[in-house]
Amino acid sequence: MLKKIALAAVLAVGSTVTFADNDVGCGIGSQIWAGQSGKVAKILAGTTNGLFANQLFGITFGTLGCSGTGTVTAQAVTFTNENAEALARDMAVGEGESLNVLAELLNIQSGDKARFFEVSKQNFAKIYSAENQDALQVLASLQAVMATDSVLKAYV
Amino acid sequence: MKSVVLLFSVLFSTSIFAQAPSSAEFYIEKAQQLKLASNVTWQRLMYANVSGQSEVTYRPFFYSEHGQTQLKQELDANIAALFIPAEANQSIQCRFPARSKWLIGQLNIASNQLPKASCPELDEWLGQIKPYKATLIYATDFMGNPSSMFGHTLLRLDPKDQKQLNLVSYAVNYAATVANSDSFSFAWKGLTGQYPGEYSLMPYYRKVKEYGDLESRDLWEYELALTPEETKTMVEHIWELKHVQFPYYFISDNCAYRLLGLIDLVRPEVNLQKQFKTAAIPVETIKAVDENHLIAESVYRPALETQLLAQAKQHGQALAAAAHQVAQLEPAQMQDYLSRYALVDQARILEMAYDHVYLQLIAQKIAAEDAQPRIRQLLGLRSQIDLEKQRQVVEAPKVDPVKGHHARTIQLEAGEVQGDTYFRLSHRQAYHDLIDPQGGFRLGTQLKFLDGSLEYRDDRLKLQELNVLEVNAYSPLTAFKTPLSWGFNMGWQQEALNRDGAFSEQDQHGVFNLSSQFGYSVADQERQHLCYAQLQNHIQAGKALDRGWRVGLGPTVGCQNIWSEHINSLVQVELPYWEDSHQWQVRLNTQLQYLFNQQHALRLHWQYQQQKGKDWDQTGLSYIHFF
Repeated sequence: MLKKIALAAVLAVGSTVTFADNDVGCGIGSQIWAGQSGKVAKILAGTTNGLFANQLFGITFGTLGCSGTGTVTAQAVTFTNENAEALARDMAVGEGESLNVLAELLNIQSGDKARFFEVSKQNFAKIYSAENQDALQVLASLQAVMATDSVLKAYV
Repeated sequence: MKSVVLLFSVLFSTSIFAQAPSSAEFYIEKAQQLKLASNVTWQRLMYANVSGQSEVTYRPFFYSEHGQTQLKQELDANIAALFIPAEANQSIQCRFPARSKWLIGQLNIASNQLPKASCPELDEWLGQIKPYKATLIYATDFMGNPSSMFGHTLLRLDPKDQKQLNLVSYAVNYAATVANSDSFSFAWKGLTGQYPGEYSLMPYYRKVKEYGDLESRDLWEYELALTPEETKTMVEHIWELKHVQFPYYFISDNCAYRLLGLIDLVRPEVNLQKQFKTAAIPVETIKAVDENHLIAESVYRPALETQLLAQAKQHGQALAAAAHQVAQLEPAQMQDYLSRYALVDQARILEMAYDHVYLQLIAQKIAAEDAQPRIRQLLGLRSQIDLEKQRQVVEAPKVDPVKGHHARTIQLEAGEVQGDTYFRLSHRQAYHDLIDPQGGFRLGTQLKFLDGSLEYRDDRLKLQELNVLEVNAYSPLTAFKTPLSWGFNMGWQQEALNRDGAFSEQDQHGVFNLSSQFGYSVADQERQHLCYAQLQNHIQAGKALDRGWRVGLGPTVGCQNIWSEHINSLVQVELPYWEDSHQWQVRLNTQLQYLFNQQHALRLHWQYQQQKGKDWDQTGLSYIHFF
């Protein structure tokens, strides 16, 4: 699962450089990812710096609402990375604008959002555990938690 | 890509009609008949100045060799370019979509007459932004940085029906590109247009974080009453400005001025920029947008610190103090400390404590390695309490900044000074004073720029004062921090001095004055009443002074009070000790104001000075108009 997210992130970074970004993550299998975990730090650093010189007009993340379920888009990774504090703040109380945006980016249906909010609050300590040092790990933990929930597992 | 553009330019400039298909000639002729070159939209697309030349200096912006100076030639070259087949992304329709669309529309060119333009890059870009609505964002003034003292505006581009996702909408920012090494020359370069201004695009959440979290500036979001088609054209035009730079002037040709130009472009009947040729104060430009009925809706987005202070007000000082306390504890001690409180209060304390630690972290008041475990623990504990969010929605201030007073004033005053009748005429260019109507402004901020008055007394007319710049930021102490209140003023003023520089009950002489003050202030939670105490120093220079200059040092205290919707007041006392005369002086300034509305008010003034048994007494009544 972490691999899948990492792949999305790799593509996300590529997109900030090239100006172009498709529905990365959607429908792409995890086997393409070759397990280069050393790149994770670089990826996350890359997502915050897309704004200089000829990149002023760069699109930093993928399209909203990619079809199908089960994958994390580049946009979700970027958003989680750059809004970690606001997301954690919302998750700890089980509601908020940023958490709602993440739910949308993960394609959670509106009927299941309350469940998503509740589950993420109950498992806050796991999702933002001390071991999770970056957005990819946070999202992987979130998905691990969702996978154990009878409703939310459909989104993993 | 540049070389292709240059090639085009050369081709057109030498043998424009020979190369183009015959239908181009037909439409160039038609454009001539329709006088499109002098059409306001063409002029705006081209950034034509008063002498009919383009302000744009970026060469690839033009198709004709002399396009910058000959906009008519440029128009013809653009029409010709429409008929030239091009590689993907290279067609004029891809590079200048707004321009092309306008020309095709005006000339009524059927699409089957034109070579097909394939623009995957532009399509992708527009597909990501999905422009449907445009929202003008106002970041309120921030005294911590000279370039943001008047506030800032940017534009947010929202897709259809995605209000809940505004954070991931794209924002368009026009800003000066400043090299980090410039610090002393920053203001001068900024005032004289030596920095290049450029548009950039970024997710809106970055701006919310920058202004709302880092700089504690509330944001106001004004949805523009543009049609989806107008919004799309505006975005297509922004694409045309890739790589285009304009000289950035802090005061006139700034962020706010450029954004007005984008609105003007899609609304040929309005001319918002025209009113702001000499100075464009962001909030004033939004007022102009409002006066043209271009604002559909406004939304208030409080800064994180505003949210924290609202919680403190909502939950009470005792819990706020507890939140401050718990934020200092080691993570392992937090649970123990909280156990004395009821569960709901624990939730409140934890929510405030987190916001506090996070604000400290981003203000670099605490190190990340100290903050991270605390943040984790505070939120972890909060997540275990099965209660809904205790933070309530922060109520929007009663007065929207757009409805606040205007920056410029004219004031007529009459009264008595030392037994004589006087009349005064005053004018201020900008922006806000402590006594001004406070609606729409942050209590405790003062920024006066070019503020002067003429006085008529004893058959003589004289310049009473001319404040060049006066800045004061009174930041009240809170349960969470003890910020410094600081300020300075620089200007010329009349002082009660005789020819020998001694305090006088009859004469006044002009001096240059430079004062600065530092101290602390307190305010009530409603932010209706604020008082301060500071240490102040003055340096004055003038012919009447004994050595031509003098220095004074002493305390200053004051209160700014809002008593009701219509009445507010200001009391200020300064106690300088003048080193030339070795005397203390008392200087009292009081004003009481009655507001008819935000733009018209009456003021009662009393100024009193005393030094070594002599005094100077002045009372007056004035009418002030903001415009």
